[in-house]
Amino acid sequence: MSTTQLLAGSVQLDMSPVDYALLFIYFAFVLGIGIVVRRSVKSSLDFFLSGRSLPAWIAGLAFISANLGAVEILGFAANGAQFGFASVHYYWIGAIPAMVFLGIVMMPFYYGSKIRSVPEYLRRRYNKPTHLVNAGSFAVSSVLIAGVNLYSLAIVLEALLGWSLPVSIFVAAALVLLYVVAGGLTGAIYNEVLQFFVIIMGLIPLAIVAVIAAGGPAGVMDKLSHYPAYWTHPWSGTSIGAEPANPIGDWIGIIMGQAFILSFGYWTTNFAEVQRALSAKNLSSARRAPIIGAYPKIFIPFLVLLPGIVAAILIPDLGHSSDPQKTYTNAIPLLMEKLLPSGVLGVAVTGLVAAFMAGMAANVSSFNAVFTYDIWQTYVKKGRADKYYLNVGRIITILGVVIGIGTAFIAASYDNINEYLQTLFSFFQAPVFVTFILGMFWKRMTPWAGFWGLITGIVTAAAVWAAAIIHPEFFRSPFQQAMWMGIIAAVADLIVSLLVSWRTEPKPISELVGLVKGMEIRDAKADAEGPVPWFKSPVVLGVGAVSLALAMYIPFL
Amino acid sequence: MSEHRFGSSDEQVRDIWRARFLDLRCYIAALFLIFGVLVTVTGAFASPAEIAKAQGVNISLWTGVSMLILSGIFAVWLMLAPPEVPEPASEADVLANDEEVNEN
Repeated sequence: MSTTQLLAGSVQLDMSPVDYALLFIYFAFVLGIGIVVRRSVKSSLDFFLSGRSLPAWIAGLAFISANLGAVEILGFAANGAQFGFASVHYYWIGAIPAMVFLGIVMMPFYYGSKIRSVPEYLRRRYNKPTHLVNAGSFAVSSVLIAGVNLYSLAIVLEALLGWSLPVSIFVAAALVLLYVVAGGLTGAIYNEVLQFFVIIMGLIPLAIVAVIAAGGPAGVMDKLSHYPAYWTHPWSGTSIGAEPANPIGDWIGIIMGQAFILSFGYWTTNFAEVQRALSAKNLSSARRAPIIGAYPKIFIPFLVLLPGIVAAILIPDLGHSSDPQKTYTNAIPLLMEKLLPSGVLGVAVTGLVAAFMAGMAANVSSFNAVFTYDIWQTYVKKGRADKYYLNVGRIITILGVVIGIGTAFIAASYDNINEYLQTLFSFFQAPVFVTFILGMFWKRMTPWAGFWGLITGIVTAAAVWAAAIIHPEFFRSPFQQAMWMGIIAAVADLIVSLLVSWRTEPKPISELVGLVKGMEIRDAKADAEGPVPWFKSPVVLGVGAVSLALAMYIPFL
Repeated sequence: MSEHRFGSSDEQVRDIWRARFLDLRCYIAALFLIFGVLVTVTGAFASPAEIAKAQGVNISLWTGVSMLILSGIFAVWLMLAPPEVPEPASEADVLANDEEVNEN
């Protein structure tokens, strides 16, 4: 039934008319949503923050969907095919605690102070130089990542559907552009939530059929017993000097570097994420949003890592074959080709395409907000009417997509996109968490301490990276290198922040209202609605999410 | 806002329906209704070769039915808990934006 066309380096799927119909119906929905929500965009706040109006469940699902892009799906499937369950650390302790921390601890400062972006917090808490470093690096890296997402999407369209690369890039970029320019953040978020359900409906059947093909859960575990122990026991090989060494890293790096420094930096200060929570209609919803997102996030390893693992079992020469299409990154497309009949195949392809578009839209919709509010309005054209900034936002969205197309090709020379992005992130992400958390909890932290701490952290991260290039024997893998880069950069930031705070003037207390612990602003809307019931309490939900995530380790100890 | 509060019940019903049409749950229900029907029908007419490809499971049928159930859940939720009629962007927020600039 299925004729397989072999193209160099790609897996071409045999799509039936019904599979194409599903894809095009989805495209129609995406555009339709952009057009319908356009009517609700009347101010710049509507465009960049959905007018702070969305219910918690929508903001929460968008919160994880924004992260569920090309890098997450193909990258973690590649990790699964290469290292088995060893990469679950990136989820269970590397994401869930950080998401819960954002909701419980940090959101009152972000939402309560009515900041419109994460860099804006730094401007108000510290000073403009600190702000410019963060806003500038965020804008640049967002465009780069949008490019990576676009490139991955175009490759998938080209490979799976046989569309040429330029056509794939044009179609994908045009769709994202249209619904973000028209619908702003609401357009992006609505499509992210829709994408979430489509990708789930595509990946669950794939995971189920793949596991059956490998002999059921018992068969999978049995076959994995011939692999290194860390494939099924993610903590094995994490002590210093253990054999076989866990390629993800040592336990200090995993706990301090990944779970604490890098992951908290990403989930609590990356505006592409925080923006989704800021779109919520009140403080209580904004606090619950990342925690609601944490629950499905706990189970995503079974939809991305597991297919990768099964691909390694079913395709024994995956990753070390002379056949150019049998790469780790192709694990999921190869399984789709091998196992999915028409109907479900269309859903899975649509899910992948949707995830890549949503990932890119998340970058674009956070980039345009930071560019407009933090760069254009703060430094270039101050004091114009709100309509002016709404138009700037729309124009810069177009420009961002165009630059994204250009930068897409930077990713082409790296075969493991995930490792490349981990490296890029850790330069800026590592120190930033220290700077935020000191700012929120230590009144004495001075504006210049914020600036010099951040700069020192970034420079230190780059220095660790350079040292590892000269001495590759320092670290067992790029993952471990990124974790230790995070730890060292954070310590450097901390030391410099303390020293500079000691010698410089703090901000007057009156300027810290709403930004620092002990000076939170009460949310009048929430007060009027009375106390939330216990099952909506961020603390109850958050403790539940962290407990569940840690309990997930039990079968894998 | 006042015309919503004091308007006739016909207007209120119309506003609630309009809000439902703009609600994300409406799009999720509609998309999965269409997807569910297409995939269920594909599964119902799946050839033995296609069923064999998916390890003997009629996976399209199962997926299609699951999507119809998902569609139903969102449709029922939308009917039982209609969205709040959206408020227009408050003047205060727009003013806050403009003040933000003058601060600098």
